[in-house]
Amino acid sequence: MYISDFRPIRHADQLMQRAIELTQATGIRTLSVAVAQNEEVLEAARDAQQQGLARSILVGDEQKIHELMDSLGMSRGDYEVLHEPDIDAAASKAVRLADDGHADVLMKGVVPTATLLRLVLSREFRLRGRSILSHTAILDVPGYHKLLGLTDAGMVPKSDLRQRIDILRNAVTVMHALGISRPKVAMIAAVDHINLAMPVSMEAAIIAKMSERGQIEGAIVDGPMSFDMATCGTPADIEDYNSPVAGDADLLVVDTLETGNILVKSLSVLTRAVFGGVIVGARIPLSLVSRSDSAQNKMTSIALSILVADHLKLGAAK
Amino acid sequence: MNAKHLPSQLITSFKQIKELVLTSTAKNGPQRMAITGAHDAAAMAVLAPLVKDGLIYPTLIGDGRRIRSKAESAGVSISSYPVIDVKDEHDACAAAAELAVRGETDILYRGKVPAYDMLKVLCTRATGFRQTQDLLTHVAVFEMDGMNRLVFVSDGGVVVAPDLDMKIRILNQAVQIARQFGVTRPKVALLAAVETVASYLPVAMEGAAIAKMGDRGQLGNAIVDGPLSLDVALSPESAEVKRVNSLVAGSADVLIVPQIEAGNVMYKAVMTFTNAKMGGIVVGGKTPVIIPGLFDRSETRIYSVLLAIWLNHTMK
Repeated sequence: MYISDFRPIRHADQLMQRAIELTQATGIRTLSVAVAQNEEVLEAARDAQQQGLARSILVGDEQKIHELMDSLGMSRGDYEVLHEPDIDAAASKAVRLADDGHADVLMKGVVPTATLLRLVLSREFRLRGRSILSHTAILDVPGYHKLLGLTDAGMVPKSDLRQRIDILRNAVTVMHALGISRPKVAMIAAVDHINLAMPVSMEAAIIAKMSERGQIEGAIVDGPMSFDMATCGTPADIEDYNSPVAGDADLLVVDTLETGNILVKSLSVLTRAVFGGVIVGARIPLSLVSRSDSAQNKMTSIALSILVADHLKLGAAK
Repeated sequence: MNAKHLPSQLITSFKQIKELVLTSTAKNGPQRMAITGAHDAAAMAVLAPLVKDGLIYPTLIGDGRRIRSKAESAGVSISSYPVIDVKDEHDACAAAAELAVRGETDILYRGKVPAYDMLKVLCTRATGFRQTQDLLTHVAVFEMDGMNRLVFVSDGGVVVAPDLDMKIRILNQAVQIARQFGVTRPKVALLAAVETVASYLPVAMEGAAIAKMGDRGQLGNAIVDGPLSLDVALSPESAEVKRVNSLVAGSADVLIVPQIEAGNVMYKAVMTFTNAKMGGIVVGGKTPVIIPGLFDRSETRIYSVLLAIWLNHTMK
């Protein structure tokens, strides 16, 4: 397994900086945008290009894309557009570009997520990985001493034990791409001890034990643990809570999409955390930006995807 | 239990709650609070100001000798209060539940006994603390920066994985609590990860079903909508950006979370990384119960007791 050898990234602005340095050193990266005729998507492509992060190949309805670009004040000559009016065919073309090595990151436009994922997993291409696809979010929370990873807050509705291990491994890869070579992972529950009536706490304990036995590579995993135990540490009056992760977690793993989503929203809306997200598990990362993401969050997602793409490429080359 | 004395005004802060509680206590006298595992420095730290303000008359249950020493080091004079000397944790929980069942205490407070043991005793029907139809549920009450209202979140503390029927009962109890804080027609959001209904997301489908029950008047005097994500429920800007057409979006009073983990991470994230104020109570039994979390600050624990007092005063 390839572990990035640069210093760990601790804040969102460092993440951005690192992605820009990478593109300056080794060339601008390319996003393949699946069905690009949408204002928010084009704005993200424009911002990424202006900041020197990535150029985009905009696959979709050329006329619509050009009209939107005009209204956004984007110069037509600055962007490559690949005309394909049919949504399914455009998505397929965008995936093909990534599969053929013409793009580093696949970015979702206005194609339904399910359609795009089906293509990525299709045997028609060579993008499919060994594990399931899952979402990893990275949050820069004011008041926390480093970046906080979170999975899965964007993709798998409710993971079973096997899927949760895949999700965890996918997210550990993302942490490695950020230079966090041995991330501390907290399996999040509503409790800090094993409670036989709470399956989430038991699954957490099982995965923690697997980690102790060396079955989860490249990370230190502990759980069950509540959010505050993971981020604040053991209170003084708690005896015998021995955890290498408590108070210093790099990555939080939750059991359902709803819990993850509510946590991201709590941190982003109520604490103004900056965040980005990426879908991993395939040979290249997928970037999904949501309409409600701020411009900064969208760029954080793209920068994160670029670092992950690089990490996966180096890993494959080894 | 019927609320007969709903407040005439909308309550929007813990400061206001404290003032109201002080006024109503002057009229009604202190509330009796039984503390299980009272040999607890954190519980004594909470008790000191409550006793000083004349709000609470405690019964202290636990290891008598250690209770006295903890009280002494916290500077709380307990000589005039009953101490029930039981060393076993389970017996302490049972003794507290019995007081509540006999009507000899108004509030239960967990000190140094495991939360799970205490809830188990209270939930067991034979104890008589909860009636056949009752479900004990946790309601967290937040006063957050930049919001002009209290926000009630349930259930991030007791019911592990509620089914549809339990979710409706959780909702009803949370709505009832919101009313006791002057929210006459609470706006309720059924939280999910999305706003659109999708067949592969059971939480979103349940949200939609319960929301439609609200539309049909099956959930009483409340405006219910779901599925809604947290940002859309609370923030008018997010509601506008996502173009969600909903009476609840951007102005929810009550948030119903799909599972205990979701509510739990939410309240802990808010309490760890913001200046929000919070209190939490378990309702649905003979008396309100306070089960402080390990990391809850003294302030949070005191707010929880104030909530319990206010609920009792408005329920008489």
